[in-house]
Amino acid sequence: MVTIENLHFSYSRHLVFKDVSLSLEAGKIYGLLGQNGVGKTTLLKIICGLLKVNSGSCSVMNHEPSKREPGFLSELFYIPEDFVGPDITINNFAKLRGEFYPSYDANKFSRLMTDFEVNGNYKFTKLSFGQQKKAIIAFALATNTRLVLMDEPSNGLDIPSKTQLRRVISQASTDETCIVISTHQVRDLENLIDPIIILDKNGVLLNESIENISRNLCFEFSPVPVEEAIYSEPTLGGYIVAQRNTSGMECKVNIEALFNTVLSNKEVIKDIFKK
Amino acid sequence: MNEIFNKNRFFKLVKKEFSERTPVIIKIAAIFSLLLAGYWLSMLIFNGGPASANSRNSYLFLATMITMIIAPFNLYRNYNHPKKGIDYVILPASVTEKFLSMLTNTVIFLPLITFGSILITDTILATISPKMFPGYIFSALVDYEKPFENIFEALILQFGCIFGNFLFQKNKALKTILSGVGLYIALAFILVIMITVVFKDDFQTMQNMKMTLKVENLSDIDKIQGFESIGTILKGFYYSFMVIFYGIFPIAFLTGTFYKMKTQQY
Repeated sequence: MVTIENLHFSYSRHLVFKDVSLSLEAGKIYGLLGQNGVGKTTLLKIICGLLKVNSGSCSVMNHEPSKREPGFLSELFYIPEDFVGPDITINNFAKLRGEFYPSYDANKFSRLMTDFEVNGNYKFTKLSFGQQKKAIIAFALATNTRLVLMDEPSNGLDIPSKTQLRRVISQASTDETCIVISTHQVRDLENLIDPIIILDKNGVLLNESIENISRNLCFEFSPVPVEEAIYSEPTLGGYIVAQRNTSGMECKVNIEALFNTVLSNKEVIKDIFKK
Repeated sequence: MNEIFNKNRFFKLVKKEFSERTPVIIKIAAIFSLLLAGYWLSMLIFNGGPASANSRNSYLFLATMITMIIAPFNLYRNYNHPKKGIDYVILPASVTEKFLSMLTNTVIFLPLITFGSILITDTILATISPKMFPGYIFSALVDYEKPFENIFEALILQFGCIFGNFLFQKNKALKTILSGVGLYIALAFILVIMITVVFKDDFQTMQNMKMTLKVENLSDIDKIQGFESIGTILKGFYYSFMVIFYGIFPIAFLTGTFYKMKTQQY
């Protein structure tokens, strides 16, 4: 679905990506993680054609995104982190834009709006940030595009809405669709995102399925620090430790701990997951 | 799927754009119509003199021209905004369709609706109180001199504003006006250099001579003895100016706008 090869990208003098290669497949919900400023949003913008690569290639559904061809755009939806809706009602927005997406489902949109408890007769400008976000997520999923890119979708959502978000995203995922979610709120999307992509300055540190991660790493609670641990962090009443999984049994992946483990042990992680 | 232009998609886009911008379009048309109505009311209250159809006709054209100039800044100010512009860019339509739809709304719909709105307001007011508003504006429209030339000049200005709207990200109107002034100064400077340096000798022969020359009769200048060479220069200046203003400027503004729409990074 998405193939990125030897990607180089920089904002004038600030280098963001250097020789990055990445492949995203259909039928998965990717979690895109990384510290502030590593280029998560930039990567999403490159994939949807808002930014043009300096060198290397980015191919999305056999299209060159930066050409912004209608056939490509009708198969993709990008939800920016801070979506600003126009001064029209949500229903009108959906009706006018839905016509441009061949697989748009108006009934699905109404259903999702009901699930999110947002009134479509209100104008975007009259709604809170969270409600605007829920409305655009509902519209994005109703377009039934093959690729959905979400930048921090759970930001600004209340607790029940986060639960709803997890549910609607998992329902929207099919074998033909690929959903990429960039987030800092890993707990909001735990049990949903798989595989996990962790970006670092200038590159991809990890791009693995939860299954593969759990086969190679174990995240456990320990009352005392463990010497052999790759990583440990203090928590209430003890430590969360990340160790190599030598048992062969799958362990539950703690995404937050995984993220910290990867960032503090880049070479070890590369060595563990080298193919 | 045609990736460059599709008629159905284009009409869908025009419909979408117009529907979304209707409140702004109505607001602008209403402001100019209310200004006319306000003028009529103040004349009525303070016993002012009647406003001729010709003067109201001038207002009609001035208001339409102002509308044309402010149209891009009001209707499409967010296109190149790093956040607000994303929604429009990812809409599944080609750049050609988006460009033409933008022109349809800014060049045709908004000015035409403002024009129509003022015309209707004036007709109503002229019917209610023929003493204050004698004659109908549309009868003066028929006698209006060079309407197409004025409209074309307004269009060139509007194309410049459309380009400025896509070129600048902040303080678009101010920067566009300043760029226009800068362009004018640059052209005037080139003209002065040509007259005072390059063709200094030719123009010196014109000094101490008294003559009146109409632009329409410019070609006759060659017939004046001793003016053969300067006639060619003057004609050269005139036609160069015409080509630059009426040909190069609009093409450059439109091409530049299209290029900016196509290559804008977010």
